[in-house]
Amino acid sequence: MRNIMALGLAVALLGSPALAVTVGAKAPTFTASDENGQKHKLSEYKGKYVVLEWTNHGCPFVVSHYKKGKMQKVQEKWTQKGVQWLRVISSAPGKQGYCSAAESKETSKEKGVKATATFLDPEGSLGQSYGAKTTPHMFVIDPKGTLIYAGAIDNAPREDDAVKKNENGEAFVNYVDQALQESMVDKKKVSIPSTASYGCGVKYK
Amino acid sequence: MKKRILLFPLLLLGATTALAAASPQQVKVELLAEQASVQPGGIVNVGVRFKIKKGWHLYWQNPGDSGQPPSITWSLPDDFTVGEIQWPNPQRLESPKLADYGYKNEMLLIVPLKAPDKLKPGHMVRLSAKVRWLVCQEICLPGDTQVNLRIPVRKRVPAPNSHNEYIFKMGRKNLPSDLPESWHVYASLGAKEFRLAVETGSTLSKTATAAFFPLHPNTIENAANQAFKPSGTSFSLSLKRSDQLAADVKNLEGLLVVNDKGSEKGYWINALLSQ
Repeated sequence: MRNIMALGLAVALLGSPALAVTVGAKAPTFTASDENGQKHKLSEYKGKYVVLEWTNHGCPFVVSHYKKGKMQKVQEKWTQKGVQWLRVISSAPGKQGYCSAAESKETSKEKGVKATATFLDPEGSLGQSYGAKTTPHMFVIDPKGTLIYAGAIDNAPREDDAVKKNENGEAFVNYVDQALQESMVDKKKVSIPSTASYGCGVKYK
Repeated sequence: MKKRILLFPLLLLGATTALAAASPQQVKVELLAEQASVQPGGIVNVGVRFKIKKGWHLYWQNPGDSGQPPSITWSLPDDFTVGEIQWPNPQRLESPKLADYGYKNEMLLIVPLKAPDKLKPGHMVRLSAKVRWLVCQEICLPGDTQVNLRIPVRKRVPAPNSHNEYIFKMGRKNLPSDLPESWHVYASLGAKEFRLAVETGSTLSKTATAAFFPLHPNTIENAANQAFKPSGTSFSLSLKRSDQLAADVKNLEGLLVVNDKGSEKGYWINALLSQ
């Protein structure tokens, strides 16, 4: 079984076409390296909630979310409850957002990032396997390994910091916060499992 | 009588004045009126004209995999109402693994504004808009500006604003057309893709191409090849379905852009999916 899994992972990382990522199905397995060069598999997080956050520190949408501590606040809230919050940088070398492990650590420290880890994915294979298109692009996986949310961070792509309601006059919703609240705390089905993500394009190779 | 004659040239100048506040160098915006005046209860077509620096682009109403369309927030005199933005046909903008929908070089968004019946003739009104956009190259930069124009209110049917006639003429050429009566569109959804078959009633040229731009996100894999296949008087497109496509999708809605015999035409379609 392990050998078949390993083969599957190897194939996934060799740039095969993007695997289907369907909410309600098992989230794609992966092996990714963090800022300390440590490798992590999705399976090591079994039994815990996992959030994947695609990021690029130069993208204006990401800048806006981090500038006033909004993203960090949500990261902290949920990592304190045991959620594994994993940031992913899939920018190719030479493209905006790409950074070395040392630079990434420095940026994380500077911006007060409260995530569990940051994965460096310059080949873009992790991004491709999840179909990550924007920064930010969010995925929430439950303790059984099922994808329970995929899409935008919130319903305010044009959010004006001072305004709680977005331009449609709806109440502000952070979809990740809501999905975790509903699934982890309230123990019920996620009411909005999928939305269209917004942001800058991931700077793939 | 004399007074009126003297005022006329000033009024005409006023109608063409479009102030663009400081904006990032990638994008220049101006507000233009198609007509030289507005009648009480009448419609004035206003154009938000974007000039985009070479190499950069703005986005369509569905930007595709990433990006964000420009937004217009109007400040108008009392009881003016705003119609729908008329989006020109977009082009495909590809980057590694992704595809967006948008515009290069120049773009004109035409918006009809309706004046209230009780508007008093013989004075100027000020139409104002805050325009926000995301302009991208390999990186993206947000921008915004305030644009205004002043236009006289006149009882008579408005004449075209001669300064802007050419801009609006060219802008309208890029707007979607009605699907010709003789055309038939069939859409179906399989396990992997949508299939769009279009019967046009006339033979397509050897160099004809077509592309589909979905109205809603999470419909198709925007970056996938659409496998355009001509066959006599008809053609088909295979549109890979999005991973996030809703399970209960009933129709395929979007813009079909066809390039044939040297001209490009966009047609809105909303096809019920057959089984």
